[in-house]
Amino acid sequence: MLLSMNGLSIYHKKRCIVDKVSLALAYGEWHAVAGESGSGKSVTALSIAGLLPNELSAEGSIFYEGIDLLTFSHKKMRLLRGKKISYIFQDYQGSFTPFMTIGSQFDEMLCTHTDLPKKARQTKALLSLEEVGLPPERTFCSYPFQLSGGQVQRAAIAMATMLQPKLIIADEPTTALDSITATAVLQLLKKRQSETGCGVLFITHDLRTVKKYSDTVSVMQYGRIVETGRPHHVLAKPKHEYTKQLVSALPPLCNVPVRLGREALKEGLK
Amino acid sequence: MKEAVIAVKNAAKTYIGSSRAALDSVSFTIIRGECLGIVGESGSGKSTLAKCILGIQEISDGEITLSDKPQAVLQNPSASLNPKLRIIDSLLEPLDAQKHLLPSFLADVCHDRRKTGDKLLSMVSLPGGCLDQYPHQLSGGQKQRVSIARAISVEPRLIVFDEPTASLDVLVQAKVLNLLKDLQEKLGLSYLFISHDLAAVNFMSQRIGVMKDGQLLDLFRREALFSPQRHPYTKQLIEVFDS
Repeated sequence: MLLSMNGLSIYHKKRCIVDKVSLALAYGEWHAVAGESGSGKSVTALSIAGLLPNELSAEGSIFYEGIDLLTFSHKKMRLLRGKKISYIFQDYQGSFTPFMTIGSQFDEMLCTHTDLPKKARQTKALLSLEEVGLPPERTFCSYPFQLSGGQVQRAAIAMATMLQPKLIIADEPTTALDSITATAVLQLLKKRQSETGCGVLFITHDLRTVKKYSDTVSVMQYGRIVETGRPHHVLAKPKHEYTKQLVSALPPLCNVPVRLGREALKEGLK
Repeated sequence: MKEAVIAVKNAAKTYIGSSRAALDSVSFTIIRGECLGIVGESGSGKSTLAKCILGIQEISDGEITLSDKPQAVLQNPSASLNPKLRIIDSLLEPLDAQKHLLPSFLADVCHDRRKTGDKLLSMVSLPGGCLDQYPHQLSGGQKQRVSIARAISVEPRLIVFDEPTASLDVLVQAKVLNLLKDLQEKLGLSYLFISHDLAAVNFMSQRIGVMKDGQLLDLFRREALFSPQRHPYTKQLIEVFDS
């Protein structure tokens, strides 16, 4: 297993936000974690490479290639993060520092993790921008605000896959993008995954993308995983009440119902 | 033929300083009680269309004929409510400003502000207790319900929705969409429902328009979504949403 979480719990002071979550991700697997806002899926993702905010604490274990990441020092974690484990976030505006060019941010990452000379670093950065379908030279010299949302997210994928990490954690990478741009970004991530053979932990609330791209799905509610399995199986025959609700809330294109998942949604108007 | 609540004829809009038309000769009508959905990606001109209909932007050419002032529910529910006002004051602002309006469904309570607020909130399934709260005390879905209650409060003929569920997650989105359908049937409202989510548009609308680069490429009845005559771009959209 590339990644295995065993009984991971995350606390805010005494309050339990994530409750004994266990999850396994094989080499090259695309594992989706689905659930609505507040279900604890994002903090679970953040805890893997030690990115939890200070007020949160994690218990249990997160094994990455057999070593428990929760016992890692900050220093050791920094060597791992970006090189072996990389992140792509929802907020593409926040993925890059606004006052530095995209190129200099790629260079910073290469300086941190490799011994390449300047020329080779630039070649590598340009190549990885080209691989995600961006005009390499122009993007390299651009500031983040000079690119569109879809372009910034592509650049983030280029940066996340540049050093061929074994694990990519994508936390709602397409939520802020429109559907066509989102599809292009996900297809790109899928392509980069098959080229580099990395595992992807994909955090989302969109069941449609779960069905299309992932090998496994775990459904999360109130900090617990309520159901895990092959997406086609889980979404076609959901067992847990919460999964049923999520599936019935999704408007279909054919046989459009008069109301969405009415019965399941009756309780609790929030 | 029922009366049209809005007729848009060859509407065009080019923003000052831009060489590209944000709206390029767009025409459609919406009849009473109908929901027309407009789907398109970012930059397709769908929000410009909403702004022109609402009178926030002026069209550069063409005609927009409205039978009544439209109401609007926009994407960001936090930005549509004044953070310094209690919910009751935001909610009743349109009615406070237009004392002569007497919506039929508020006839029995219109003498009392608090009862009017209660009634409006109950129509969107919110507890009356929200009236004295401030926007930051409500969730995104609750704030969007308040915006919807405010939009229906003046009994408009047409409500323009611009990405009303884009910032909400699946379960909340489903509840809001169901609510919009309930209200439409109960009050005989007409909707212009704009979104990049073809599935939501398809659920809501009797007719669907597809926009790209400022043009209305395709306009069809919902039943004809899978017809071979669809525009290639519409087919591309269907592929994204068909699962």
